[in-house]
Amino acid sequence: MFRAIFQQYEWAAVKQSIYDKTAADVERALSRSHRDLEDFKALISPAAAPYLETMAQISHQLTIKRFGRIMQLYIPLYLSNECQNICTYCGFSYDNKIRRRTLSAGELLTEVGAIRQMGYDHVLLVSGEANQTVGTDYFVKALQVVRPHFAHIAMEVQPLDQEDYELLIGEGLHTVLVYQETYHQEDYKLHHPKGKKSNFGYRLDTPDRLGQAGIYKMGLGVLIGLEDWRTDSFFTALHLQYLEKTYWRTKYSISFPRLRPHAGGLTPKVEMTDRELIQLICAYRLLDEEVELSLSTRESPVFRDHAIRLGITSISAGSRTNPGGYAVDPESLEQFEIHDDRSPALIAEMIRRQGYQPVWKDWQ
Amino acid sequence: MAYIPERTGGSLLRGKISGLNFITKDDAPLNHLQQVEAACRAGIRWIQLRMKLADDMTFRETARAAREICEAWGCMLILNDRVELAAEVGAHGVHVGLQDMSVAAVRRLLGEEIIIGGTANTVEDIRRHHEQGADYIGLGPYRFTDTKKNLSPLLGLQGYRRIMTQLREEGIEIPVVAIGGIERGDIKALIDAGVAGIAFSGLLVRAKDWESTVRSLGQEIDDARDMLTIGDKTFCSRLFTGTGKFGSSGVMEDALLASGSELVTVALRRVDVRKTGMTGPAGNGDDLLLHLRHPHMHLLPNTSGVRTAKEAVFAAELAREALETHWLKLEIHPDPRWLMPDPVETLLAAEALVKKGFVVLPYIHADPVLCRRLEDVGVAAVMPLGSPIGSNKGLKTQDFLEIIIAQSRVPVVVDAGIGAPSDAAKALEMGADAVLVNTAIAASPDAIRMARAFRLAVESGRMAYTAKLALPSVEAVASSPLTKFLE
Ligand code: SF4
Repeated sequence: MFRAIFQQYEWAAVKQSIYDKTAADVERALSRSHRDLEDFKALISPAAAPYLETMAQISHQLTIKRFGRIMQLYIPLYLSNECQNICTYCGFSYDNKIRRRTLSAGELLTEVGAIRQMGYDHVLLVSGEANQTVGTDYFVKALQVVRPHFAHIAMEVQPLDQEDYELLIGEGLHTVLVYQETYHQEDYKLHHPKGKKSNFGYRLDTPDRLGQAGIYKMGLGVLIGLEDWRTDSFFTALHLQYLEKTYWRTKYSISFPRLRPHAGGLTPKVEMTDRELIQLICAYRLLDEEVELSLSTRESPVFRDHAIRLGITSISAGSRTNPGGYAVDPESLEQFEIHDDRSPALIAEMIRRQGYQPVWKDWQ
Repeated sequence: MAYIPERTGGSLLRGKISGLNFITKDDAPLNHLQQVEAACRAGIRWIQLRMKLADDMTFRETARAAREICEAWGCMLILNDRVELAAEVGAHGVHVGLQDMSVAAVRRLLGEEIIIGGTANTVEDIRRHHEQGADYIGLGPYRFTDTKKNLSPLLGLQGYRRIMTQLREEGIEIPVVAIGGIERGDIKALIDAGVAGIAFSGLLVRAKDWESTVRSLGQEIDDARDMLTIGDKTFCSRLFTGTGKFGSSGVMEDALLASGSELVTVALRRVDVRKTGMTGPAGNGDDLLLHLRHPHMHLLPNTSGVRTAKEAVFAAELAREALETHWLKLEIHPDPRWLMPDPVETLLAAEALVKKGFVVLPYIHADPVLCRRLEDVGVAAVMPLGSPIGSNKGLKTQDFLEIIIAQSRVPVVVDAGIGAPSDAAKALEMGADAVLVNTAIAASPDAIRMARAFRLAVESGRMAYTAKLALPSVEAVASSPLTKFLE
């Protein structure tokens, strides 16, 4: 279990060791062919800032070598905004007075139709955490509705038990995204004061449960802005390496959600600049040639247009982050504000202009 | 514990001497016996009983009781001076000071079967002890302490470095234990200077929590010594060897001693299992095995010659019985010409053998997926080949070895094909945990010299790996086409 490894690390010491990295450490990391976690620390450290262009060049080349000039497109489909958790940063938080909705089978099918229309052959199902109404039973039904229409189905919902995952995999689930939000245990408590999500350990063990269930792909990440992003990213990379070694049949992806304004209104504790986000994306690619890196519509059009050449392998487009947002109830409140609201067709055009081929389903 | 020091090989205690030694202390919060008990309980496996103030009667009683405690914990007990009591008490060894009886005299008195250590303050002291047949040296003092009343000059780190360098130049190989006022922060530098272990007294006696102190000191020493752990064993030497193809058993023995190897693989089919090997009285054992009777050498039976998983399991059980070890090098090669390992049968056999409690080290192709499958069934290490066995072609599989090393959860031992010391060094530089070399040593016209060359190459490769190799410098990028948008 990753937990045993995680417990050997102390946040403050890790943070210090990242900030202690020097230009020599960065140069060493850049010149190696296989990089380890110490190299990763150097590449995400402040000392690497002057080397950003070199990192970008290497990241660009490595990504093309492994993935080709291909950009995968994905789209979230929000099943429900019901949630029993209080998360200080989220519009769906239990203490936010918003209208709650969970899609019925019929509504789901309507949304599926709208997404198919845009060209997608790949969907990401999303929900809050309301285990009574939107639990494993609901997900089974949702998969049964969705499965005939998509080649690849991913999910970003509450953490579940291994048996639940096994059941859902049997119903056609390929990928599960579960973000730790932060690996800083005390801060995690502060941001998740109530609900099942406040159990840090259960969430931390989730990738192990997924691995044991034999999932095809899983996605990791932290919510950037809750804590020092460099330290949190180190722990993500540590987690990733452990998982790659232990559940080696599984594929992995990393996401980089940055905190953005929403109805609840949490200002990020730590700001991450655009430069730093590019640095982080490149550092991941330099650490790991195989991992998929994905970027959501939280980011601005100009940022996304450039980032796709720097290591990113999948981006979303045309996203709505409210249940029913595509056809059933377009006006309801979104989970987070979309920064890039260009249509999938426009995004595909932008991708083609840069010499890449947009792919509408998960690359298999 | 049958402990037979071997004086001609020189480095007999190399793998055996405990990195963390404890010397009991007069006027301490605990009395001597309590100190022995606490030390054993905390995990110390080498204790020197040092009672400067006690009369012979008290010493005898304490030593007897200490011996019993040590016996129960599998700990070595060394008496400080009091040579005449050693045999009576049943101690494993004695340690003599500069003013005490000479090592040669003790050796005459107590014979070959006892460990003798000598205090030294200079290179001359070490040379003299070594010539007289000492098994290890206690070199010090490092800094001022109140334990030693008649103080020799303090050595400090510089003194240790100077003396250890001198020993290397003179080719004197004897384990040296640093002693005298050593603190936690000194450990790494002393080990780097070349000492085999460190003796603590005051630091432990003062400790509130023996167990956590011993654990953290031991960890630090092990890290500094850069030991390799596989299964239940820990090795100083990262050179594993074999017994095949030597001109004679005598040459084999000398070469293996010169190699410093602590893990020697033996083909089960070469051992006459009817005569039981290691534990039988001398003369009754198998001839080959007699030459491998050195305390630092562990045997690794291999199943060479078997062609299926079923045969391998049968051979393994025979080996466990005959050689009294549950370690096994799993080799299945149905093809007699190239001796290529059969991946399917190997995986099947590995799974079965792990379930039966064996520490399994499978010999395989440099196949990263096979390595992962083997790790999944619980092997203790993987042994991918560098090139066809016996070919001496070096690391033809380098690219695959790199992948295996990068992703392995167990130690990676490069086996087969290593033809020259430079191949071995290269493997260690790449991050392999150890290499296994047989043909290249055994078939050399001067096997003993070649064994030594491999030993140095492996040490140098490992050292280069831990020191982190310098790499080709990064080429500067003039323009910034990819990140300009951020400006
Ligand atoms: S982040 Fe997820 S769990 Fe937390 S409030 Fe929002 S929807 Fe619920």
